[in-house]
Amino acid sequence: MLVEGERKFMNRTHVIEAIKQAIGKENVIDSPEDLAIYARDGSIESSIPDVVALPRSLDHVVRVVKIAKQYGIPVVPRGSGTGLSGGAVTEYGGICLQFTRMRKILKVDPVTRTAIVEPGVVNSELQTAAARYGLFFAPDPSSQKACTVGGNVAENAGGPHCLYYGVTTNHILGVELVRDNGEVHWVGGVQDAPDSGLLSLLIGSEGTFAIITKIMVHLLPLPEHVATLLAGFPDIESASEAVSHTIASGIIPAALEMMDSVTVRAIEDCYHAGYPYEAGAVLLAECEGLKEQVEEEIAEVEQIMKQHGAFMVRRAKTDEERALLWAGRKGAIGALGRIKPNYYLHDGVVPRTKLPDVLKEVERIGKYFNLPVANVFHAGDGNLHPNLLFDIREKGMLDVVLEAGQHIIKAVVNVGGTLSGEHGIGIEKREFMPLIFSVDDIKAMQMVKQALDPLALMNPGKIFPTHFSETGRLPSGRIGTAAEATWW
Amino acid sequence: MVIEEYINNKKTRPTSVGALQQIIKDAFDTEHRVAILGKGAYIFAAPKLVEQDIFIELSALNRVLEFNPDDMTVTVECGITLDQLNGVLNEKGKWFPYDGPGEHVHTIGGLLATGWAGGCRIRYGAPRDNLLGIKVVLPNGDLISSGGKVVKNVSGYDLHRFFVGSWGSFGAIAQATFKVYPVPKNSVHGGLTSDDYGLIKARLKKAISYTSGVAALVVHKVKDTYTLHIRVDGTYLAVNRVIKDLDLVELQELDWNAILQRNSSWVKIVLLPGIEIEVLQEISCPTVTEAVVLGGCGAIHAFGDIGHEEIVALANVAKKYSGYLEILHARPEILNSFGRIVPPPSGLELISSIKKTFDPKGIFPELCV
Repeated sequence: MLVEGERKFMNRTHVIEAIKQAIGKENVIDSPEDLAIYARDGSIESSIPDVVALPRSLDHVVRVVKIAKQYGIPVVPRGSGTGLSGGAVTEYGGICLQFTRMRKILKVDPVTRTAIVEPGVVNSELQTAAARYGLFFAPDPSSQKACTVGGNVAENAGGPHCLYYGVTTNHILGVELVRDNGEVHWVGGVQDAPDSGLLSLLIGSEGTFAIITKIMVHLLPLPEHVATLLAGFPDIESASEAVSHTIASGIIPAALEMMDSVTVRAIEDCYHAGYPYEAGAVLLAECEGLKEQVEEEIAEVEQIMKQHGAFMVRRAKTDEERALLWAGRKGAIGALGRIKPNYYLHDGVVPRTKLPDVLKEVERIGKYFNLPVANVFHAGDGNLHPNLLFDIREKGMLDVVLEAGQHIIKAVVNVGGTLSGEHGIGIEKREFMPLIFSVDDIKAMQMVKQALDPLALMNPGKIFPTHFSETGRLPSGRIGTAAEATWW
Repeated sequence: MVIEEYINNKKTRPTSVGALQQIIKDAFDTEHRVAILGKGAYIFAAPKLVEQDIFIELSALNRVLEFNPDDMTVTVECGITLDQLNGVLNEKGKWFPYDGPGEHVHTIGGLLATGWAGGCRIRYGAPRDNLLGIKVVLPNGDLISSGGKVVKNVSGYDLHRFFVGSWGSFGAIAQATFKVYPVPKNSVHGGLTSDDYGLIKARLKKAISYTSGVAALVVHKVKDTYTLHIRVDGTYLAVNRVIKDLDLVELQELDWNAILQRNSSWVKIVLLPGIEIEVLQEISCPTVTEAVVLGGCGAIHAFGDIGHEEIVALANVAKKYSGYLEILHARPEILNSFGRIVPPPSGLELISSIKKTFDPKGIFPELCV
């Protein structure tokens, strides 16, 4: 009889060999130094997979998933690894299903304003393809030059312009998926398909139900006219008031972004985007649509900014100037690396009228823990992005940062907010789920997980609190067992 | 036992969420089948409902629980009607956009259960898009929440959106929170009537090319006459430009209620958006006397006295465009023959597995397919 360690080792070898035979050894990574590259996403979480499979086709995905089921090992889909909640981290090892080689734009149809893409297509590649037909894909995360459409679907990603256009779930018409048993299904496919409720459930499920292998997106026509405004405020409170009053006025800008003084200075030092260096906060507002409407609305936004203390308001005069303002915003988190090498980022959402209070509380938390905080966020949605800046090499600092993060999350929840607006729960925020959901709420979500992924092989350990199944209030079954398993 | 009283009366009308929970829990314990109704106005579209033991009508749960006009969110009990809700919202310059079937009389719960959308989804989204969170009583009586009250949220699974369009098969939606919109500064309803299909199609295509401003595009065909209804929302100058460009005249809004009253059959073809007006020309059944096309929304509603052969023809049209035919009102023998959705959706097996997990005793109606 084999001892546990020997059995595990034998299975690991068998699994890797089986995957190589199934999809070709050139599509498999198993050397320790290469596997280390796939240990992380954009969060602070880290865990090395046992093997990385790089499928080139639906058939490859089906083969890998069948092997995973045969050996009872987890499968974790991964796009570009830009996620910020640990969703693509193989916490319990297993197979990392890396979609870099499934990145074809299969179809762009200007009549139906739809596109069908493989999950590894980068968001900005889809934007470029759609723009040839005067169309665009509305979700525009700051990482859009790197993040994949598959990742956008898994996390229900947002972006600055989702204030007006909505997040990913509002722009997906259908997906092709592979279940744990290798079955292939199309879900959705037309607007109001009879299974579109299921489609909604799949979007943002963080890869915990099935592997998505094709995506049909709905595209929108590029706006006739765009106006972009930069406003500098003496402090973050006055900028927050301007946000609340803009939304309350009945104008819904396409984007309304805020950056605090720490962020503005980092951006200016890095990109020279033209932001006022002395500002306590800046707002970047954009209106899109029919020319007459845009001109009227942007003038009204400008007026509101001035009424609430803006000491400078400047409108982008050229496309180049507009692009530079956005380059600053979208590169903000990278620029923060000039201050400290690491950041820890939460993306809680609060009612927009609560922004001034919550931002004060975030500032207080930063001071209490002696941590620099840089705020750069989707203010129009109330979607905070406080970046706690630190150096992970300082002993004990990560614990301090995590504790500060907990306080921020609690401040968000205390005003009726939620844990995440667009980054997902993943590993990072799963322990906070009981702050906003009851045991019965989480139990209902686990029932769905159990129905769609009965062996719990699909991205185990994500979303649900780790100790939840130990409360004794859940049915035993297979829930969470893969996360605790010792498959090899 | 209280449950006997419900069964004898066949219908009950709880006045609190707690009472609703208790009724459902009693039914679960005694294995009686329940059906959830708003006002029951569209029960004909869900034939499985009539087979249930107890009808739970939610029209007494009709309060606005929380309205934050500056945050543009509202939380309601699901028995409130759209007219009641918009009455409250309009006082603060806000509105809940919906202009499909039952646009005035639908309860919010009924609207969510049907999953219907109107023409204005091209500008404001469908009710599912504007739903932020719900509270639902599950078949075992548990009250659960999904989503929240903020406008952007990826915490946990989107169970709330899953419940939309489920026709009450998974639980009773008790409360819902929505994103609402500012009442447009100007809103004009215009259009044109003609028996020239080419003219209507060209005008529709021109209207759909506007990147914003046009809030709804609906073509109503009665026999060989077409009426194009266009809603334009925005600032005064923007609205005027669109109206002038499209050469629109003032029109009465489409009256869904009248259409439903004068027809004995109602089906809907769902397909990809943008091809509806072309597909309309392929519907040549003589007994389809009226049709409503929701431009840019991927939906054609067809009305008349639709028989077996016509259903086959319409289903073939839907199939040709990888869409579905949804039979909303028809003679029982037709429903028995075809079911509600032709062809059954490919995700049905997955939905059925969730149904079995949520409702192992089959207390709530079977899936409406």
